[in-house]
Amino acid sequence: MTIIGARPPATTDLQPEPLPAEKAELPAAQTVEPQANTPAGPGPARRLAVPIRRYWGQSLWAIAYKETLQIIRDRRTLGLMLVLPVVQLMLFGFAVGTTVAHISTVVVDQSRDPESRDLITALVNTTYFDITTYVETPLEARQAIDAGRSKVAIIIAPNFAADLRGGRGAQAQILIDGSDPNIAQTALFAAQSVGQARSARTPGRVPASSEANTNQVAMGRGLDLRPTVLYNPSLEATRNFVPGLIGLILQLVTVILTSSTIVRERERGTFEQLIVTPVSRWELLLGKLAPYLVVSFWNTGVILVLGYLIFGVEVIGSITLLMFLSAIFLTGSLGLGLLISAVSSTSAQAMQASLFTALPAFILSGFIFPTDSMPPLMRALGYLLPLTYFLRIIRGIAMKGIGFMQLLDAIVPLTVLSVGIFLLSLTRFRKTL
Amino acid sequence: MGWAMRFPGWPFGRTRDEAFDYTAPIMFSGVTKRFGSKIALDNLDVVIPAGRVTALVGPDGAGKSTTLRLIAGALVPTEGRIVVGGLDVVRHTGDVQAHLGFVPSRRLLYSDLTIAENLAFFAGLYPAEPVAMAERRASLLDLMDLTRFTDRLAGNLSGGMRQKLALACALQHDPGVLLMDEPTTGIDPLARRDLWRLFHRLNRDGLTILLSTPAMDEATRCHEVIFMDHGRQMARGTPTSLLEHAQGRVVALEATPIALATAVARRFPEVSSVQPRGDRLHVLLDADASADPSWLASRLQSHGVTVRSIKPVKPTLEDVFVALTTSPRTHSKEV
Repeated sequence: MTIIGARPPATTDLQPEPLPAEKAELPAAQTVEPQANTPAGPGPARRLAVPIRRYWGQSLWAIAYKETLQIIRDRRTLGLMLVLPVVQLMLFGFAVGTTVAHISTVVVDQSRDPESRDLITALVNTTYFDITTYVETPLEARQAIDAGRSKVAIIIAPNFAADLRGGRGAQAQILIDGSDPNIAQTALFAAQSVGQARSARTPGRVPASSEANTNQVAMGRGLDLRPTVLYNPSLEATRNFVPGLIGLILQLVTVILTSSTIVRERERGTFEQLIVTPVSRWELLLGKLAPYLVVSFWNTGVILVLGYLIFGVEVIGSITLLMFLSAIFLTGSLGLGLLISAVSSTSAQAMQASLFTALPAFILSGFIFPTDSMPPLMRALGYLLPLTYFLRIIRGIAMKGIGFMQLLDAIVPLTVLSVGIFLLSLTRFRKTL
Repeated sequence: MGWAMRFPGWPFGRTRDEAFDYTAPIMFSGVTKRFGSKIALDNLDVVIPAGRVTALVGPDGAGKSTTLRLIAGALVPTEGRIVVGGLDVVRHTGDVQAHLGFVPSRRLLYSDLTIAENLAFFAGLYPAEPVAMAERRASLLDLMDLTRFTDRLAGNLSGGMRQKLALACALQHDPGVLLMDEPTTGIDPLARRDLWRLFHRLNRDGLTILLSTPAMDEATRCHEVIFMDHGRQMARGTPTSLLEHAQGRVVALEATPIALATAVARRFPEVSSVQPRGDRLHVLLDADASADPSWLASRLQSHGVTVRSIKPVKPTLEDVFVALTTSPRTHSKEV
């Protein structure tokens, strides 16, 4: 390649080329042709601003039409508008449509004879109880409830049948997890009904009970079926929702914040300014996410404190463990937010996507409606959500005071899913336009 | 804290302090960039020498912004190699970026941060010695007359001031190459002149400047101009040599009726293009047309056009550009 004239131009005061019209002599008596620059042939000037009678609502139509065009071209919004109501209908319908039933139940049958099996069958026939496992000892049953694997335990002592036949009045115990009042009340009612019905048919007397047991249903005849509600004997709804609220905040708010922060930079154009600097992908990401991490933790703390001060909700278990597991859940939310920001080009889209993922998460995770009574497909979907496990964890710690080992079967999926989402989102985040 | 700057540290910090050669040119070898089905750059081979002020000019969609972004590492080429300072941009992105300053066309800084905060933020992103950088920052602010406004929010600045701020942010780490995408668009002529004085001064101090501009008059202030169209290099040369390319081929025509004259002249085979300029027409003649334009006058008159004056004029870069882009011979020309 040859370059001619490599001498640099005079650097002081370079003037642009003067335009040919600079001589500015006013033309004498010239006919000024208004369409001097139109390449079309000469003709009388056409004026477009001639008032023409419009039909009524012409501007209205123009605007509505433009709006429609924009909606149609925005596939994301269109999809949301058309698909979301249907999805919501399905979710709510299936989640709410069935009454609380098929509550997961664990059974300890130490008597193992026809009478005890009869009682169990009676309970199962109400369709309210779904036996998931049989265990050997009451302790194991209690642990199952603690860990949230089952909501109800039926405990039958070894001498049940003998007592029944001998007319001494047999006792059986039903433990009900009270941390979800919805389920607890149904289970309680069902147990009481069965207890009464059976009692009426069974001869014998039950010794008067001296324990001040809540909700005792001994009708004074043969069978004493004692339901006991654990963890929330008064079945207050408040206690249930505060821990769940933490899950809500960490899931929804974090995702919204994270997704919009990166999209906003891209929208404004400042993203371009960042990616041309030597800052690494990791530094950029972590730097952006760090304040939101702090804010989310702060929010968790505030909810717990206010929950205690205003509603009297105490965290029975270890707060440290709660915070630690919240951090894990948080990484998942951050990752989800990042993923959303990677696929959204505007803030509006990011917001839509955040809400679109949050709503089904709430329904499927058991926050509002118990998972036990959902159709198997929806329950299976719920198992893919970190929120499902997190809710179990947080209710476990706050309301039951259980610890790490008992929660292990929820902690492992939570960690795997959360970290998985985060890593996935990292691979999608690129430092290019 | 110098050790922190030089720590190879994946994943923190992408600079490994590879040697950046300030005398090496910027080289594009067979670079193609596709966005889906759209081809922005088509097998581009270009060399931009160091230590000069070079302008990329071309119509919209020619690939000027894409070229700049590829050099800055904001985009990755679909094919080909880009070498800056002796380093491959894709493989040593961080090291190259540490020696580049980039002023994008949208010029949007953080409007909710002050001038000082903006500068401090960008300073933190570059692995340069902090004290020296602070000194340089101060002198840049002084040079651009922004020192009085350091506490003003960037959103409250005028267009010219914001551009200067963007420039300061791109220069405070003392880069070897400055890339600017349409730096003076929307700036008034006085501010524009100031900016150009600044550019030339920085260039004299050894800064390589590459900018894209739609304004041909700006291109004349550069050492070298590269014409681009359709993602390829159409021509390059110094402004002088390029102007010689259209020398003797531009004729200023005053005629009435102008519309008729335009239409008629365009139909002549020797005429490359007819451009209105105020009350005249600039007629660009083919290279092999005769130098004396009287034939044009007589032919126009025979079509009923009254020719008041016709004379050859000095071509502008705009004429050169039109000549190049409307020419049927659209392969790369060296002038």
